[in-house]
Amino acid sequence: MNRKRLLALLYQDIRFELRHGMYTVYAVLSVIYIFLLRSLPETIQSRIAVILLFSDPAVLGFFFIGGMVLLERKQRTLSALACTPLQAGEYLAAKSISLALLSLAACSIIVLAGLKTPISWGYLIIGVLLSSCWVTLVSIPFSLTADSLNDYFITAGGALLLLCLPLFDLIFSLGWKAAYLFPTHASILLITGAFRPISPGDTIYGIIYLAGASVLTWRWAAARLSARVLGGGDHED
Amino acid sequence: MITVKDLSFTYPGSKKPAVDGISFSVGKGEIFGFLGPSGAGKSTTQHIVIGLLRTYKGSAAVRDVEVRTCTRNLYEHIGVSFELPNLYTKFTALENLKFFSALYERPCRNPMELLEQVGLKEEAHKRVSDFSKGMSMRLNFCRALLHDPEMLFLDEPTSGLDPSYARVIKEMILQERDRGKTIFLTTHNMHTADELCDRVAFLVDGRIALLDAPRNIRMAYGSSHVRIEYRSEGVLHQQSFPLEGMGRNRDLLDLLEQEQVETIHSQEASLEDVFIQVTGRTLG
Repeated sequence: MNRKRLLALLYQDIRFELRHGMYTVYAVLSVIYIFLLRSLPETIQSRIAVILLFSDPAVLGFFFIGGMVLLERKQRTLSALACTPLQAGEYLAAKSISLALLSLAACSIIVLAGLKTPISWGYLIIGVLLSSCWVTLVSIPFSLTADSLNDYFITAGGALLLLCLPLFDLIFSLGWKAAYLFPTHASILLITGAFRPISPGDTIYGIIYLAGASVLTWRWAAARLSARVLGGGDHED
Repeated sequence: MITVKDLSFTYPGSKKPAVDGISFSVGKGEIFGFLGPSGAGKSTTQHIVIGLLRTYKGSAAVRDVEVRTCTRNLYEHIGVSFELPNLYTKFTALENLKFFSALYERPCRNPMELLEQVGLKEEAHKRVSDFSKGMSMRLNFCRALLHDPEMLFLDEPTSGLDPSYARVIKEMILQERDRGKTIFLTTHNMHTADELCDRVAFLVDGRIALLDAPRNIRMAYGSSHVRIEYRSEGVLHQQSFPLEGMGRNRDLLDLLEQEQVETIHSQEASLEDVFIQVTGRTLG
């Protein structure tokens, strides 16, 4: 991976997100979430905050990456990038990092302005960054093949909905052990750790499982990007 | 620089090959034109040679390396301009060029100088969304030249340009050739090909029907006659004479001496005439 290219692409992606109004959309949503949290009784604030942070700002990559890639396809800039030395890994890293930073900024602002209780920032940062990267990477292959934004939301949304089954476990306190098989359960655990203590086992499981899932998803997304956009020649000299 | 042998490619789900056993080579410092109607296989061939389609049969080598085994480092050495603009529309012309410059290891040309050359200096800070198609195409062309590559792949480089800017782009292409660059030009514009190309290949249904220098083609397929239009007693007449022995042709010499000659044209064929004659197709 070339650091100069990665930084150039990261800077470009952040400006792309800004100019296509993604930061504005999220600023408005964050204000709504802040008012929502502040209107809740303190006893349920942190529980609702976990559900809210996981289901939207932490996974905003799902919502935005579809729009970004479809815009790139519409403007045909993906074909232009395919004819540069850019590597699939650099493209995926720039997209994941730019959206993870936006996720973290949104979550931090919501927590700071919406909650009165102190939180554990380490868990919030790790949980949000890993969750956002994983969700963005899962969503990219769908965005490369979707015919439209609706098509993307149906295909990628369907897949993500299945992966988010542990959210029901959290909402209805089912104690469902099979939830540990889902990377989303790892996300929920780490974000929960920001608001109340979780066991060291759950912490280690959360970080390793989510990081491992991100690595596997990275490989899948890189293979799809390489085959569909970069012509399959995605390897270093 | 480019060597293609028995190259074939069939798109998944299609029974008919898009490219069917073609062979050609392009030398350093040559402008090679690939001509044919839409769907002839021009773009498919270009996509194979630039490494975007790698499941081909036969051989396609660029800089002596088989394309299917090339790394992404290949793009340090080639510049590609597609038929349609592919630019970040919410970014200015200069921002687009600066971003793409940052993706190359090799030193890049000054974006402002390139913009000035194609007449876009005043629009450097304007967003591409406010550009006409012609302006976007000129910017596309700049991007292909940005990293000063050894080879240029240009797909319809004058498409959508008015005649004055088409002339500017053609001059720049010739300058690149003079600097030793190899240029692979895909077009259905026979006039552009005739003006620019050292050699052209006619492509129809994925096969090369004819390959030679434009002049050789025009001479081989044209008529070796000269046609003279003259006015006699207020009426316009025309008459053809063989080129061979023209200086001794008494009838021709009498006509030139006695009549009011208005035009004299040798009757070599145009590339378009030959294309229709050889392939039985028109360009569209």
